[in-house]
Amino acid sequence: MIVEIGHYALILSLVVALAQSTLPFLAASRRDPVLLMVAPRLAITCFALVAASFLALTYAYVASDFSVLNVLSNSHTSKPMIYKITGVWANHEGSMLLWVMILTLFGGAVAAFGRNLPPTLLARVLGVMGLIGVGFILFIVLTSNPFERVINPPLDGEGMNPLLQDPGIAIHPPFLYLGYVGFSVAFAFAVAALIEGRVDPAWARWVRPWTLAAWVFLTAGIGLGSWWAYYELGWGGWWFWDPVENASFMPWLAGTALLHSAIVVEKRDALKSWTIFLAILAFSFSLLGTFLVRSGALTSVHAFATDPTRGVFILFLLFITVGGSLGLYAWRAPNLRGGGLFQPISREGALVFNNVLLSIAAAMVLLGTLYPLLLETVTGEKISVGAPFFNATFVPIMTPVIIAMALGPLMPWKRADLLGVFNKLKIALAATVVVVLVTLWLAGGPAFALFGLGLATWLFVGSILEWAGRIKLLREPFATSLRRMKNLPRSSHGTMLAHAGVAIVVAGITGSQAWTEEAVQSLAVGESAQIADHTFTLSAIREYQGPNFVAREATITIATPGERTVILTPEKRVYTVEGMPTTEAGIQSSFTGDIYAVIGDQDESGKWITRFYVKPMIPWMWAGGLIMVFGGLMSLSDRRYRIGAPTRSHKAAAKAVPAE
Amino acid sequence: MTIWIVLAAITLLVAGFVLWPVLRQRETGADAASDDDDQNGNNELNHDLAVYRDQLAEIERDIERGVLSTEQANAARIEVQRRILNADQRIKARESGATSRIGKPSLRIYSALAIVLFLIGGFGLYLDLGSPDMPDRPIASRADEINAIQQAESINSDRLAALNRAVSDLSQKLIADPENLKGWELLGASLMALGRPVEAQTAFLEAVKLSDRDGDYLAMYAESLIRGDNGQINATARGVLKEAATTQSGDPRIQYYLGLADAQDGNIAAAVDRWIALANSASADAAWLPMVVARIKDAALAQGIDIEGRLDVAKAAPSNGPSQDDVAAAQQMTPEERQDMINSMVDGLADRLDGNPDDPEGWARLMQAYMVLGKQDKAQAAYQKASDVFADQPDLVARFDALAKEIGITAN
Repeated sequence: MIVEIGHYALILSLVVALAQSTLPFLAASRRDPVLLMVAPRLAITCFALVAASFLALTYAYVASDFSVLNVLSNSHTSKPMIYKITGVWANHEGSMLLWVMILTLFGGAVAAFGRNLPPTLLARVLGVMGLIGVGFILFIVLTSNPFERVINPPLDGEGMNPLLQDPGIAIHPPFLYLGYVGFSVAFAFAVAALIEGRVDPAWARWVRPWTLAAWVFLTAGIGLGSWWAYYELGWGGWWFWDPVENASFMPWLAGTALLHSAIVVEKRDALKSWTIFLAILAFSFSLLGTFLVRSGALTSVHAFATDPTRGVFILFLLFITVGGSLGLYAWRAPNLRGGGLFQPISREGALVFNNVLLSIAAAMVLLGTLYPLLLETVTGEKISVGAPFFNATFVPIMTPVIIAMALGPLMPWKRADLLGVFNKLKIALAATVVVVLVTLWLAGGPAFALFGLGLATWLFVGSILEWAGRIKLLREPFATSLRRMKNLPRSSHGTMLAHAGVAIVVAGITGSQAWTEEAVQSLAVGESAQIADHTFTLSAIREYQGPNFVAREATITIATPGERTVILTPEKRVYTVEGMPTTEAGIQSSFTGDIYAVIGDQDESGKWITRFYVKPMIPWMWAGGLIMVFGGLMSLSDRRYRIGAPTRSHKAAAKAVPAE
Repeated sequence: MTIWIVLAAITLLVAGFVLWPVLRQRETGADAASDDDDQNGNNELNHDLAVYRDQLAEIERDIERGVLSTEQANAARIEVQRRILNADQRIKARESGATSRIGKPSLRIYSALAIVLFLIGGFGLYLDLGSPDMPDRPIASRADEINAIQQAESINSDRLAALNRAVSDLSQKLIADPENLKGWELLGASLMALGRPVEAQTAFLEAVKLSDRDGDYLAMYAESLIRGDNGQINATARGVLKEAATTQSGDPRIQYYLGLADAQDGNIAAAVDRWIALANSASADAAWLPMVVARIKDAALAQGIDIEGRLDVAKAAPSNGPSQDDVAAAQQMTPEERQDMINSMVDGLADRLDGNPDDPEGWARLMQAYMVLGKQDKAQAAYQKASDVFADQPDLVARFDALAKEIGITAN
């Protein structure tokens, strides 16, 4: 009965979303205070219903109810409990349900926390989110219903892709979806603002926390995804410019631009039209990503199901949403009056610069992702646009962004003195020179490594300097600095952390690209291989039986003169139900870098094929990502962005929510 | 039933929660709606003012940091103050224009009705898509099914073991006594049951030779050839089938497979003709008849052949053999119970033959049944009685003699 209740809740959520996508617009245009109170209730109900149906599906997975087709096709009784739960979204139907649940969660959150919003704006925002909800719930109910039943269920299921049976990838989709779908809030605000015909600093203030939250989740999701690729695929790579990765990277670039341009709207009442456009763009990229992954236009580990109906349906949704919103934008945006004027050299100027370049970067990624698809459709020719294209286009675009990232926060609004700003960054410049020279002396190159580490140093030291300047570190007594640090708005700490995080990521990428060493060889037990001054010895091989797999585990002893001996235990697993092998790399991370070992099959002579890597600085990448996420959370916790920021008089609060 | 109560409760809960503001409005009567709207305007102004106040504070902080000079700060302050005035004017202007459109109660009622209609529509959609009668089937509640499957597997393995034993026993016997026609037939049938049709071919071929190319054995041989070739009727099998068709044998497999050969040649119409003839000639209780009739209907449907009125199959008379229910019941029983049931069925057959002895097939079955049950004396008696009943029909008596010899009843 629980399963059927879940199905009913899902269908009911469709009609509630239908109401949510119509009634609030009517209520807002008639300014009917009673109906305006109904709008948030619809959004909250919609979330409760979708969440109930998600819980029912989760129950079916946990209890191994194979009378549910979705469970039958994607689960198995021998799977460990955690993967029974994550199995809910490790398939097409379930992941779409998760997508919608997060969408309605954001809708419900806007409704619950948005009581301070002007009621008509709130209603219209919820209306737009309801429209998106209708599209996707309809998609689920009609083409991807996870509650389809089987009359004579077999006694066991068909299992789940073993590559996805991993803790890292298990929580990657929820984060990624929180990011993707989080931009729907900014999108809904943008469309609602176009309908209302007004974008003002208060609007930007309401949009920013949602955008920031989405950005934080997306950053974490992308980081988790690349980390998973790094240790699970067993090739030591972490980013492949795979179209599916690009699909998550494009909204990130657009979202980052949006985050910054919304600051200009809030502080300076300028860039309104552009910010609206970015909000539409960021969510459009999210939808495009969903389309690319869900339609089967791309084959990859993410494309669980390939079904042309689904592709056409999502393409249709994509056209309606993107086309409709851009059409509305073209019609209404010219009416948005810009506010403050500014000089090219100013904080606004720096942010515009950042926006333009981030947008160009997103456009390059879009081109590199779609061009092969288009070419294949038109001419049938298959080409692969890989790392060379992206390195050649992406690096030159991002370089000035990183240089400007250190300068921007130091510039005042309206008009700045470039020379004065550089003057404040003398120390950063000196540090950059020192790092480049030391690198040249220690490693001797290559040139791009000197360049990359130089950039990273510039940005890192620049970000710290800006923050240190704000608290007058070393210029006033330490106690004063400490007091100033406490009084500094949290968003200033957030800016510093996020920018410094980017610097650390850049350093990690540069170092690992420049100085990775690898060796592939066949070893008998007891034999060794040498990489740099590390001696890798294959000490033992054993086989063991896991819960739903059999594994071969190698013990690799790594001796380095003057350092502790490291023991790694890479595995090769074969998942018995699915008959699929996976590699589990053995990784030892330290501040200076990773030691990475993979065990393969036996060759003809009975030796084991092994791959060893020494990857300097690579953990910096994920550490940097983590710091960026932390910076984002810090900004989000800023008092001013705490949802419902403006304090209201007690009387008003009592009257505005009479239903309680 | 419970599910309908739960679904109704969910629906009511949703409707109640969503429509609460409208319902409440109805109860308290015409609330001062315009007051609400004033509230909206004030709220909006408050929201905007809070942002601007914050910006003014930030200007102070910037002066402290030394980012802004006093002059710049003054300019910035003036700009923010101008925005505050704009916001105030905008809200005032809109309010004066908007008051007339407020608070149409009918709008609320129609909206509430629309929501209720939506919910009813959702219920209808669920009736179409859902399976409200299907209970949950969590694996923990399916222990009996798992046990049943395990039991069935063990019964199946018992059966296979028995068949394998029979094959090896028969092989031993046939080495000593290669002229035993019935032995070769049994060996072939056992091998077919074990899914080893190619080996069965050798056994049936021996039987064909020993029986002087009897039609029944040719049919068995043909079937083993066909099964050994994954259902394809190759040239050898066709030759065998055609030869069998020239004999007196009434084995339905001959005509059925000849029809299938036609179908495989693409001549569906000829196949259907042959099968219809076969079906029309069959006795109504033939076990294979429904299968052939289904085959005819499928082929006719697929090829658009009109078979209206051509099939003349008699309604199956109540069968004397064990019914489906009896077989199903037998599977649920303990070995002793099963033995009892078989005994009672055999006794029933004996009683029936006492009352209506003109049934040579029945007597033959009774003889065999007693032998299977190990009641040699009763089998002997049945053989005696049958021979007496049909004493005036020498060919039947000869058949009883042959059967008795075959199943080991000593001659009288």
